[in-house]
Amino acid sequence: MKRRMSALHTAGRWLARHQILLGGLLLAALLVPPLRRALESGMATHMLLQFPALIVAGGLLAAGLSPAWRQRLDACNAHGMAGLVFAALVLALAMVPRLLDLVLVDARIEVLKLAGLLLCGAALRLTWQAAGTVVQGFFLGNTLPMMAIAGTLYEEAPARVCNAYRLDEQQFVGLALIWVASALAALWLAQVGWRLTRPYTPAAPKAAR
Amino acid sequence: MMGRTTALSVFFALLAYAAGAWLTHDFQIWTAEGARRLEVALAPVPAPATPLHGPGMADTPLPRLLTEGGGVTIVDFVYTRCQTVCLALGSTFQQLQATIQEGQRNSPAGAKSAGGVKLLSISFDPAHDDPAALAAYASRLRADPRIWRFATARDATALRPLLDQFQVVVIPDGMGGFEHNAALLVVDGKGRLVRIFDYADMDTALAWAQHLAATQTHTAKAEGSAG
Repeated sequence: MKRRMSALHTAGRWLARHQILLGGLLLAALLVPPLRRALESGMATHMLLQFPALIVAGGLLAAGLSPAWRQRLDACNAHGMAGLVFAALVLALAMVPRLLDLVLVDARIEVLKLAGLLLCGAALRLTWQAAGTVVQGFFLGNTLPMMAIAGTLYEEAPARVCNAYRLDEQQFVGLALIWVASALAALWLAQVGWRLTRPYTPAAPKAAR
Repeated sequence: MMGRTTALSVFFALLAYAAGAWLTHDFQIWTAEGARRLEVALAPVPAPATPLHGPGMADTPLPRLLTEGGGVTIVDFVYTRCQTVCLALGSTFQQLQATIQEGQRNSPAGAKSAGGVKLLSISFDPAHDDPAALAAYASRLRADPRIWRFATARDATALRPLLDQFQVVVIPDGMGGFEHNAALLVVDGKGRLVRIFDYADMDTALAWAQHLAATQTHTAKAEGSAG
């Protein structure tokens, strides 16, 4: 039993190191100018590929946070609320169409966007478990409808909302945002349902970090 | 712990509010086009000294083109191969020209004098739209050269500063043409871009331009008599 635990522990640590490496590689790839420009040349790849990839990279890189720092963050993140507030606000700003145009012509705003989305990923990673079902539900209850509404506006706007992107792309992105929001909501609800209907098993004692 | 969490959340909220207020000009606009129009209305944008040429027009720096003869110019950006928005813009400019001509007929005193409103179509596709192509385009639209002129730069590089300064964004439409933020750009007698209108608001644009032209003449006269 003890051996198995330590094997798991080793595997976990190996995976954690692997995560940082993966996150670093993903981030490096996203930042390479030709690829960054290629992703940003289309509205769909910009919003539906680059944004989530940055969030994932931030989440993976957050694994590299030292326990001391983790503790310091946890001290001002009761129920993961501060982290989720941060993530929700970054996502809200990322939905403003002007941002998509602005990052193409202003390097400072591009840096802020990249940093904001990375930190958003890290915040989600570091706070999701601590948040618990109620706070998670509150976060998603705000963020996903906002995403769906933004999607509806993008899809139904008669004119282009971004000077740098075509109308047909905008309509596709709008529809995709509605689908992504619905899919995330369905996934989360299914997971909550599964957890609630699962037969009760006392939680295993937490392994030392 | 709860206190610190609240403080941090409030800090994030304030930060995001500030960022959002900056990004949307105090929550008035949500798009880059909205920002462009608002910024131009708040602070006029001087036309860059891009040399332009066209039918019957040798290389002339844009500011001189806009200021010579006084008056106010309504500028639009086009490419002559355009089959979509530019057709609408073309007919908008045709209607504007008709209204201006009518105004000149009704008040012969004001005809072709300063204080009038002129039209200028600038092509952002200089590779294709040489002066000959522009001349053909002008005759197709029955443009009156006293009111409505056509111009472009030598090449795309020469045109870039103008597009950047006026925030004209041109992208391929995926069908061999271009998509661009087409609009009516009102430029005052000093060669400054002062207002941008949707081409659907052409009547407002013309009324605004005529009012500006009248005020300009008035001010110029006042300054003249004072000096």
